[in-house]
Amino acid sequence: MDPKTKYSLGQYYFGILSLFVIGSGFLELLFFFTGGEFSYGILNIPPAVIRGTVIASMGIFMLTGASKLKSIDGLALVTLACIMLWVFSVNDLFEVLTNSILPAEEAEGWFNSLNGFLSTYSGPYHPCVVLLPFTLPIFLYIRCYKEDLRVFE
Amino acid sequence: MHKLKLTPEERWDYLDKLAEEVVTLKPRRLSLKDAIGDLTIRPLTGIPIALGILFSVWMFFSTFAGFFTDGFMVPLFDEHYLPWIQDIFPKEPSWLYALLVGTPGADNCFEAFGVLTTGLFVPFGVVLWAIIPLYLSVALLEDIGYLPRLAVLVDNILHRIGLHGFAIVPTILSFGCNIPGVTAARILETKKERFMMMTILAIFIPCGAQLGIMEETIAGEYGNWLMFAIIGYLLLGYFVVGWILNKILPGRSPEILIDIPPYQRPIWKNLTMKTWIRVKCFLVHAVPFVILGSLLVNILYIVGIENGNLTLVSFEEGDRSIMGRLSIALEPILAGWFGVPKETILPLVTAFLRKDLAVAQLSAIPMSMYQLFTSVVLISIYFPCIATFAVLWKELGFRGLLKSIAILIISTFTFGGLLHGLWMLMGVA
Repeated sequence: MDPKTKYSLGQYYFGILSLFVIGSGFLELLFFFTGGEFSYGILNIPPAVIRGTVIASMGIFMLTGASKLKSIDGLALVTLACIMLWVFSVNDLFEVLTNSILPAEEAEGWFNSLNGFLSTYSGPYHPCVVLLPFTLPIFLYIRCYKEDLRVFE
Repeated sequence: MHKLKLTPEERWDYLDKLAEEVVTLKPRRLSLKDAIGDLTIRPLTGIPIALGILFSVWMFFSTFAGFFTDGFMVPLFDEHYLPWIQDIFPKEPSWLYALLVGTPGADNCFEAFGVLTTGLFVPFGVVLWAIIPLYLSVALLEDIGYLPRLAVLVDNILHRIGLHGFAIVPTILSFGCNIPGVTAARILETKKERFMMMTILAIFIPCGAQLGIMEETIAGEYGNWLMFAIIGYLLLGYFVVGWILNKILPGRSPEILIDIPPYQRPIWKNLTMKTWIRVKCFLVHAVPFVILGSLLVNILYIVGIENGNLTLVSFEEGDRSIMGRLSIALEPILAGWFGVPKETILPLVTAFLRKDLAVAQLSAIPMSMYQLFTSVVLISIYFPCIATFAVLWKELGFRGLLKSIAILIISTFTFGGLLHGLWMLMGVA
């Protein structure tokens, strides 16, 4: 794919993705102040003030970066937003992993049963984990940005 | 050998000429790493990133510490080790039993108060699993090159209280556990900075365990805003007392001058080695102090004063012990100056060992939301936990510790009294 098409697609793609990121961040903040929570399928949006603020900020970074993706500054903003979402996702997955190893509160023994272990992975997950696979296309842009960006100079 | 006698100016001129001859400068193309590096230093983008990174460190710390402490150490110590050690000691309670094993019939290592029970449980069952993720996180942030950027980002704010940007490292660590925070204050350059840092950390920064319990008990009952209001008040104290100490303490607070390295991939071997060196330092230097501290507290529980002579008292006669008498003596201050129920004394005594447990105990005492606010602030600031106290002693020396305690007492009366005054003005006290 030629760089011009690739980066135009990227602008739309990360622009749309950023709206989901901003939305989930603001919902977390909203739930923090109103006391609600949202769960649907494998998605769970809990109330959280710091996390919500950071995720909403990352969404804004991603949106700003997507609008000027053809420059190194724009690409850096989108990359940074993706990295922060990965950091949160890894933390969430680590929490799921530790929960899956330990037995339920009233259960006997040191470790979880096989059923209990597997059922922990059925979700629901935080929006960062759900959005994680959708941020991976950034690698297509990071891999050869040096050559690609020269086209726009 | 011929020596050139040049003035400093001539040397610089000579170096400039030499550089012009051998160095060719080309227009610099910003790499992605450079661009990301710039974004993490600019306040507009850097502050949300810093908030996210620090929050992630806290998430990792709470998950890791919760997994090992609640998942393995608590059952190991309470269900296996404690019954075993209670069995092997003579059944009849004696002073040796009271010192080493603690309260007869205790069913958990938190409340046993013995050197071989609580004294071992606190460092090996709790603190160790808190410091490993924190040290690992700091080593990772150091190795990838984020920590110097964070130091630059917060330098302006911390300079107002006489500290420089690197003071953020002990502060972050303290939000996990005060012990690594206090030991990390060694990185500060001057004695004044180290003393200030250690003192305000020990007084005003609540540890991760305490924050976790606050979230469950206080936020659960009154909402998250109360928890954030308490943390906000403590942070206000951190800056106000830091500012005052900077004005009154002799010594200097030098400017920060650091080289900001480019972002780079961390090397796993370096991370594990750095973490191990710091953990080893905790095990070798801090643990003996923690155990010694437990011993001292235990002595205060089993020794009483009768007619000017020291006597041994049993746990059933706790009111006659030095600690018991101290509790009774403090009751009027608690009710009069701070406006909290006199029953708060029990959590305050517990807080000397575990602040999180003390906050949990508060939720069982009937009191208004305003009294709860004051009580939690008091538990946070009135004294560091025993482990932090022991490490403070080691780091500051006896004289430094006494000075720190004096500041702590003044801060407790001021900040606790101010809250009571505020509630009185509002007509809710």
